[in-house]
Amino acid sequence: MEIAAAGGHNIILIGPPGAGKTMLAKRLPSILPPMTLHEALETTKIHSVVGRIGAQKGLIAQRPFRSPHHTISNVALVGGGSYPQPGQISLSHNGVLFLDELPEFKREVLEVMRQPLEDREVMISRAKFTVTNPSSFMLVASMNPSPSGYFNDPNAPLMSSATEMQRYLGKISGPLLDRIDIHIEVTPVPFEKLSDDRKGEHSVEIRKRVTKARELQTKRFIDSEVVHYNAQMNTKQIRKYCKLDTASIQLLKTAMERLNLSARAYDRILKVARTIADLEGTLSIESAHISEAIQYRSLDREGWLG
Amino acid sequence: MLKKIYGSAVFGVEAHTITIEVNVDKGIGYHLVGLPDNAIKESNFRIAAALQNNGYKIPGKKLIINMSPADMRKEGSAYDLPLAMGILTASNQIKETNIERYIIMGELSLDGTVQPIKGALPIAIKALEEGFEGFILPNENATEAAIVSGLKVYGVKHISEVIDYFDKNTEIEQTIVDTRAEFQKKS
Repeated sequence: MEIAAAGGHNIILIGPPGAGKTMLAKRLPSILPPMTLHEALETTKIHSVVGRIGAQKGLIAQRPFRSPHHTISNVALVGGGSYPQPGQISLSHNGVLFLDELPEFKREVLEVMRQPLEDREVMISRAKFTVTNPSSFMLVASMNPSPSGYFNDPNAPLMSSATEMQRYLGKISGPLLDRIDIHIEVTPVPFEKLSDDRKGEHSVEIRKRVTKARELQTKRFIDSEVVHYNAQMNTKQIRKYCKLDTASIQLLKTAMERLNLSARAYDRILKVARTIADLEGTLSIESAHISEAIQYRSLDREGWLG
Repeated sequence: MLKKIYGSAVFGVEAHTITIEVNVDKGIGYHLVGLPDNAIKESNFRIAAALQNNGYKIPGKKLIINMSPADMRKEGSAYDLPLAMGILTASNQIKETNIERYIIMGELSLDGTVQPIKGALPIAIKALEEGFEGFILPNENATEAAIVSGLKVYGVKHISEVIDYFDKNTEIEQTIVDTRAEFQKKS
């Protein structure tokens, strides 16, 4: 989650019910870095168009966190209508869009998100005019691995058949998964940890690290108008800022061949590796960073379903 | 007599300046053209009541109102205030000192109270870009629009404030917001 917050990467959380996926996602805004003035102005503009700025409230300084219900229509998600209004993805510009229970969304609705996830803006065309809304958001999705909720858990009450699971996971199309940078399996917390009184790391500490990494990125992209963090990098910038040493190239080549990764996956691994390096404060990407980034694309692995 | 008042329409997240031209002629009639939607078509009832409750009236002449550009669909009820101002100035019921230097937007209640609008910030940004001197809008939206520096933002609660500003040169308090300081405080 820290890496996703630092670089603005899309992340999907997979796990059985009650593992804490929704809880993690809802806590994400507490570790996100604060908005820059430019980002705040962009966000306020969009919220002003839908009349969401309350009376006398002024500038929006907190990152938006939108979590629409899975019955949402594709027009409400992306924007449109006969007098085009911004959709949820534009309302979560510079913030987080949380899709809980991803397979429950209509397939059509998920597919319309593909283009905006790539271009970071959505172009709504009607017969008489075209409107382009910004939509550079961080996607957080959560899902159960199967319809019954459990997978490969020997203590689980009921297991779905292999075909049911295939169909359930197949609801998320390959191209959409391709655009998600980090895949995390959330495992249930054992009782000892649940009842343990020792506190984990305070979110303020995590936020400090995330903000430091984000500042590195702001400095890096100071010349660009559209790119503010690693996840937004285009191919030219990836080539410039994510140079690899021989060991890393070899590692990446093996991974791509073995796991059958696409060119888009290649780009995304580089971006995540760049964020991991930023969090450690190292200037160049090392093979340890690459291997960690590859590890986070677990859903691309063929043998995942067993 | 022809009078032009300026308003604004928001498409996507950008605003376009709309010119509201009011022409008063001999005869009887009220014609509103320029592809208004139903909310704007209903506005003449709101405007009539608001003006009547404040001692003014829609003249019993032939009124032709055009919302330019005429081929762009206009929607929303935020044009009540500029339409009312256009009717008042074109029929010489009030003086208009430099009304064309302002963008005016707002919905009217039947008693003349000005109701909030949507999209105040993009409108303010466009107004500054096009060189308007000021932006007159409902009080609830004034803080949003004041984020833009370099534009005079006047938040009003009642149509009488706007009428007196142009007719009798009374003052309206400007809303001024130091955006950077606000931002530092909030983040």
